[in-house]
Amino acid sequence: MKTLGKLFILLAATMASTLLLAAPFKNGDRMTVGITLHPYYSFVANIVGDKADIVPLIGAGYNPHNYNPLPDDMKRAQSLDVLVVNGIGHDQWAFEIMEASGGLEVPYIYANDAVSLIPVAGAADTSVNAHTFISTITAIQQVYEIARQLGTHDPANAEEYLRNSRAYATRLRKLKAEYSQQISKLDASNFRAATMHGAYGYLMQEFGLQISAVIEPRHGVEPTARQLAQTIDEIKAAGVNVLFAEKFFAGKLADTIQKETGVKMFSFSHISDGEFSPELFENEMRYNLESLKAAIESTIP
Amino acid sequence: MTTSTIQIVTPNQRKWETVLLVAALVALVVSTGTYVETYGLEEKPQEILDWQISSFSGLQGVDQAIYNELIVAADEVNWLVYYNGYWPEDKDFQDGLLSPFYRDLSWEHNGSLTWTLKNVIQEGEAQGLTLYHGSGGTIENQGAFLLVIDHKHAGSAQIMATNIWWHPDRNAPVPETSKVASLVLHGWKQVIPYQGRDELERLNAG
Repeated sequence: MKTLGKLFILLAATMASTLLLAAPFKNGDRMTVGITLHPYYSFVANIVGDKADIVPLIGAGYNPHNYNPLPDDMKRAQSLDVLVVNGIGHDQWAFEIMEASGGLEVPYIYANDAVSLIPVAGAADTSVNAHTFISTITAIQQVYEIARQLGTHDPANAEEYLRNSRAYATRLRKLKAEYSQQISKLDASNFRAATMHGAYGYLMQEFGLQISAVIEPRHGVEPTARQLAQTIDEIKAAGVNVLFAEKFFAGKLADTIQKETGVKMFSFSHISDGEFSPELFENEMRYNLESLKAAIESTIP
Repeated sequence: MTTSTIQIVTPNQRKWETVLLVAALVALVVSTGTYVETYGLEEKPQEILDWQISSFSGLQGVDQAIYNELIVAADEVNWLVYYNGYWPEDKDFQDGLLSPFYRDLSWEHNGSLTWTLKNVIQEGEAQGLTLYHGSGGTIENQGAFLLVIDHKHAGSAQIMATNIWWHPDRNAPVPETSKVASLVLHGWKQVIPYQGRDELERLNAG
């Protein structure tokens, strides 16, 4: 009886190891997709549906602009089959984490590979705007790129990934069209906007709107008193009547500007806060479009 | 009570000190310059030929906006051909809300271009060209666009190569032939995007 038991255990162990060897992914039959920024969670979730697992490389509450890798990140990195990155300056810390975890062999999906980039609006130099995830059009292009690449890593579900990506893209187009219709009924001839972060160029471009000035061309770097005074002068000179702050921006600086210039204050979401969820991108974009609509309405005499 | 005395100590080789310091500084600057020149990483700018234009630094305002929508639409046109079996027309674009063809706010702000499908120009059974021509914009300084899809059949698969061309004259007519030489001759410029992969290359080089 004892021998039979040993044989059974041996057989079970052999079967288990065979299954593991045959499994195409680290965690078995399901691919584990790592993501860096919040929008990429939503994109991947809508592409893979229930066919793969998604692991954010860092926790939800951290600021991705100035993130310092933690030991837990390394553990998560080791479980990934593939990692989706912005790759053009917004998540450089991801490469540090992967290197530190010895996970360099994990293939990357560069979401922006085919995205046509634009310079940061209002900035003195022509540096690249890495915020391609705050716009429906550039989001759609990234969704297609991610879906194509995920399909090459998981051929069994490739067709479904592409089908899902098209359905998601259609939803994003409908969101844009919904607000486009509403905004088109408004008189935007007096709308002259400045933003407090150079992130919103793609968003404004897809509605045919312009940003006249950026108060804080680099996120997290507050202007000096001299720069602020200069910006206030520029806002006055440009005739800007609307200023978009960050959604969770501490209002002191904004209040000073509002008081000094008389501009009306609104806010945009950078889509890099809150819990990771499939709906987050659409919800935050809706917030941005509501804000844009309200801002235009406020400029109608 | 104690008294203190001040003694001034002069360098042993006073007259040489300044000369040696300047010489050391010059040597440092020259050697650093030589090292950077020899081993320093050179940031290679994107190569744009005379008959091309950069979407990043060449196209401005509405032209850049239209281009960025068109490059995404090109992807979707290929999808529509794949699923529907025909080249999408205006109705398909309106139903699918597909910018820059879809007549919404950004279309209006971007000059309300008129888009026409210049149907498949057969060049033989196995290949052809399909053109989407956007012109007649209402904004004074905007240009005209041409989305050129070169499609070839390889067995059961269809290979699509997409190119976008821009003309500084917003009323530039659709060319009779879409051969590169002919387009260039008629003032069209091929738009070269600065894409994520280009930026990644630049970042990796740095």
